[in-house]
Amino acid sequence: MSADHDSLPAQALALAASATCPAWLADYRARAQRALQDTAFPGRKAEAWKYTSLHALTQSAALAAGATVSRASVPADDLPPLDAWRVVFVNGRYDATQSSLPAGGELIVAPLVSLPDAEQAHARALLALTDTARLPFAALNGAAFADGLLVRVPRGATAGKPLHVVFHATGDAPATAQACLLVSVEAQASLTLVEQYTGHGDNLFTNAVTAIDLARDARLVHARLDFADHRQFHVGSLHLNLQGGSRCDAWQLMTGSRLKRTDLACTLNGAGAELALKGAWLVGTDEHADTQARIDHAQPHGTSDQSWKGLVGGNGKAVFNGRIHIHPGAKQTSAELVNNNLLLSADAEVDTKPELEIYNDDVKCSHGATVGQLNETGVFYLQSRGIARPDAELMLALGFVNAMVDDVPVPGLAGWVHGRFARWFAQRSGRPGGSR
Amino acid sequence: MLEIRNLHANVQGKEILKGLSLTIGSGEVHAIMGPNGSGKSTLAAVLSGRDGYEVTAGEILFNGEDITGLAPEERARKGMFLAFQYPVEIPGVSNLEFLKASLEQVRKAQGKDVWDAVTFMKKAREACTKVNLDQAFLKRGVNEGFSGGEKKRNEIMQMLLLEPALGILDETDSGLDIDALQVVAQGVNSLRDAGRSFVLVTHYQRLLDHIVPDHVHVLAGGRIVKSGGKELALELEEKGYGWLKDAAAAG
Amino acid sequence: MSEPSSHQAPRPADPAGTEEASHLDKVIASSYEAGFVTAIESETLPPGLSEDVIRHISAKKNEPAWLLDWRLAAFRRWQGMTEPTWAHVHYPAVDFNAVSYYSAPKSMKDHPKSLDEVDPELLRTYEKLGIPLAEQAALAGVAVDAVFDSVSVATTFRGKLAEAGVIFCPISEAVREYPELVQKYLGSVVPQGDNFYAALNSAVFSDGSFVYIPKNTRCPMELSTYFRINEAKTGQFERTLIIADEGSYVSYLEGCTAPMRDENQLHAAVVELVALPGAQIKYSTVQNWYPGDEHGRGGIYNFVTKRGVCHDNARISWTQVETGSAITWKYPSVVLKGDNSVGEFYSVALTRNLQQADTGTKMIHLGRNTRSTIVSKGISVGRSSNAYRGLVRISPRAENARNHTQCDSLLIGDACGAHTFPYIESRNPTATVEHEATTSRVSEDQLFLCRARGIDAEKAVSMIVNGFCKEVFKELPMEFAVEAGKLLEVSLEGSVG
Repeated sequence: MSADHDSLPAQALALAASATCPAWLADYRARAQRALQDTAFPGRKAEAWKYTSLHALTQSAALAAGATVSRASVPADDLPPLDAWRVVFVNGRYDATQSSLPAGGELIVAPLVSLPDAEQAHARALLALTDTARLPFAALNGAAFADGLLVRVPRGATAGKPLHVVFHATGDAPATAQACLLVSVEAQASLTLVEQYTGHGDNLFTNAVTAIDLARDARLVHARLDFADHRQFHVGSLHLNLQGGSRCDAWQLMTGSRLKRTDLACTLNGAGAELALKGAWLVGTDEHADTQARIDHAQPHGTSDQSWKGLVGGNGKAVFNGRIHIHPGAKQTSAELVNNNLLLSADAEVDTKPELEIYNDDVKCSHGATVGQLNETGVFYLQSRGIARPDAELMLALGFVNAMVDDVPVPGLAGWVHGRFARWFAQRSGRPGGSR
Repeated sequence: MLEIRNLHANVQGKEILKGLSLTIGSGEVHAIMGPNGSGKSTLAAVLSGRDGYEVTAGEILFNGEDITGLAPEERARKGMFLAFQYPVEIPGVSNLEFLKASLEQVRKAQGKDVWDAVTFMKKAREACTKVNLDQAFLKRGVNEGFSGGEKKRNEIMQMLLLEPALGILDETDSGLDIDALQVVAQGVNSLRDAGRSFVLVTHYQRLLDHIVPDHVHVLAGGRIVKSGGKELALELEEKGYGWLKDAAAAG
Repeated sequence: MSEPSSHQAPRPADPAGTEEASHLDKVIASSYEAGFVTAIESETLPPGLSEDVIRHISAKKNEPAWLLDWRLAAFRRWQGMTEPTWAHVHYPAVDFNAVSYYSAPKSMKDHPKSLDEVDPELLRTYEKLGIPLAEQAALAGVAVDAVFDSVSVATTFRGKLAEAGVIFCPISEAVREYPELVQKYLGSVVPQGDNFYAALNSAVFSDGSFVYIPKNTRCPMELSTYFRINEAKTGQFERTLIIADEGSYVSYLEGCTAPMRDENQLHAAVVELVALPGAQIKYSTVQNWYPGDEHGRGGIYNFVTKRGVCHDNARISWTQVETGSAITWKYPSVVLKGDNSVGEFYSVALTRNLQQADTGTKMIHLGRNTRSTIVSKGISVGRSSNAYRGLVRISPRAENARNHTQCDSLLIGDACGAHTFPYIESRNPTATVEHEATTSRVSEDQLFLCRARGIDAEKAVSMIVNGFCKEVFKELPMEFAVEAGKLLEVSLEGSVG
């Protein structure tokens, strides 16, 4: 078991050694490299990796191959039709030809390699939010990233259009790409952000880190989409810091891949912060998706409300861990989490663990988790109205997950995601309903 | 029945009641009115002995006895009853179980016989009927999932059973529709007699159309700034509280 | 009741800003009624663990060679294992060589044949604990096996049970009298190497109860074992084995207490239940080991492995009321091996002062149409920590399996911890698993409403707690439901001022 991972640190350190970065990031780079050296890559005895093996990644040539520089256009089909500013990274490098940056002062968007001096302090502050000590892949990202993006909405400003950031991984040869997205929404400012991972090709590993800070009374709508080629590997972490009175409405939407692991670390770090999080994963044949959501209520009067749905077919395996941690001072906290899963086939597997850790009594907390199957009464009802069983199943299964995106306040996004879900059902679910 | 002498009380170190005096005779109904923040609910809380309200001076005599230092349960057992502005939910403890424990303690302390199970159920059902509350509520957790109106009626139902000597209604009329308001009023009126007094704490005159008070007092700045008969309530309804502010400042 | 402690940790100012402590704030030590020591001469092995100690225990009990070999094999496995650290409990490392692994009253050396021959001091001990062992004085309908440190001192109503063919005796005796049954089932549910403490227990287990219910027999009485740790510096390592043959039924209850001591004492038991096709076992526990004082000094370390296996159409119910022990590490589990079998777990765990509990269950669904129900009620008071940890596993073969879990926490005071760690693993698309968890608290507002209606704070807390635990108490045999209710009242005494 642990032997699987013995080569990981060596591969990771080799990668880090060959990476270059701007001089102003040297401190952070050094810290991440130290963390990487000190970190044992997790075996499955580690509680956080109990249900996910890194075996497939270690065996692939992706990590050893390191970064490749290539240019490729993101196929139009991969992009939701949004009226938005767009920034595209291909294999971890900023691609100006496919990007359209905002000009006005209400939204500052700049690649890290060419970051103006005045913005560097902001980027460093955001990088400090990443938990490189706990998450070895975040340390790897810090030790090896070549570029990234800083997004900043100044105090009181409202970004006029959504910002769409695309990390595209493509190529014929094995490769690893580091993605780094840093977002600061300053006091009373507001932003709509669509963060997307796309890609085609086998043996490509994307290792992503996103750090977001919402200052006092800031607002963020954040959709994170991950529908890359199922043959790829993806490890990502989102570090979200909510200061007093800020609010984040977030969506995590994904299909599975050979190895997918997403860590969310959200801290309600100021009084009255609010987090509403909806997520859906669709995991099918030869796919794996492991989502770990950790919410820390560190300050009073915070609210977090999470709803996660999983659709698991084929021989897919979906893993979820939703941990809510209420600190002693976080009085008057309200925290809820629901995770519902449908198993679509005999070889599918769901491992879910909603957790509560509560250290004060003035809280309202609940969680629930279910694993079940399509509602037979519902199927029968549709059949009795003349709909064939496979179609009835398709409708019910897609309805189950589509409901999670219906209220995304980004015009054009929900319909596009519904289409992606339907495509997954046809290709990966192992059910006949999709192959009409 | 109740005599409040020069009462000063602090909440979180801030003085809210600043020398309030009031005398309530047997069989009388007194309305305490006043603008928001005048100290009305503080008065109700202090009378019932709630924690967090510190009496710094003055005294409260109930039937001649100083009760300022008594615990809330001791006051309840002496015949005082507070109808809460926001009745609390106690999931898992049924209304019946709660009432039974309450009645046992209060009646025992008052030297009355403790009802047997049959009598208790009969009385509880009657009380429900009087306040138009379905008997199913008896089996539910105390106020658990009750609507605002149901909670208030539940308070009055408890009062009917406990037959207190002094009933203190803290903004019982807030958030009630006219039907529920009438139910509350009927409950109070049915208990009115020469040996029983009421204090109605309210912001609006509306309740007083249905429970006609003997005396009306205006509370402002932690003191009673004006007292009168029931016509004072109408005057307040018409003019608002603004004209009294000067009186409060001057006092 | 003792006086309020003056050494409480500083607390944040309460919102109402009162000078005097709030009612929930006065979390003080209540009495532990079973905390006395029986003055009796004991024969106690010096502390330490080695093959010689194991040989000594085995010789004391006149065991056959196969069992000594079994113990030694377990000991060798244990030596290669490390203590589990995944539970949400914190305590200094246990020195396993500072514990005595065998202690018995000297008077038990001559193997008394009847109650008349048992040292009256021992009988008085059980009487004080409310467990009279003389049959005429005993609770009608309950047979008791009384285990004192490492030996069973008496087992009541054996004659009456024998008439029904029921075997109820100390396991040390069963090893001699019914070797074929013991050899077949010992370690069949909890293998030697299952975990660190199970391996330790397999090496050094002293006494415990053995139960066999013949086919199609309804056990005519409740069976009960009462465990008492008395001697200082000793651990108790009992082993219980219950076999319910096809179509039979038994209800079994265990109770446990220990004296108040400043040291921590170790209790590492193993309980194995075998429910053969169509059998039903109802296993209830009222655990009241000494929990330590208000500063967290002393108390039992309770590291227990309990597991049952259900064959076709069988049912196992675990009901536990846990109020004692400084540390609780305990997950009574059911392996639902047979089709249509049913597993149930009903638990109330109360922690006070600095007690820490990490308890829950495992429901392993292997057979078709298997059902499980979990109801867990955790009550955290003071500075204690109370965690539910559970596993529901649906194997690929478990067609139409069903699980429902309800997991509620009640917090009393703002410095306690309540945690929930449920693992759900499902690998069959026809199975349905549902898990729900909630938290609530006893608030000052609730107490004030009760007090304003003339109900004092202690009575109010006890009403709220009893309401919270109702679903579990109704699963206990009648006599014990009352006892459990009282126990909670005693435990909560003084938890409010």
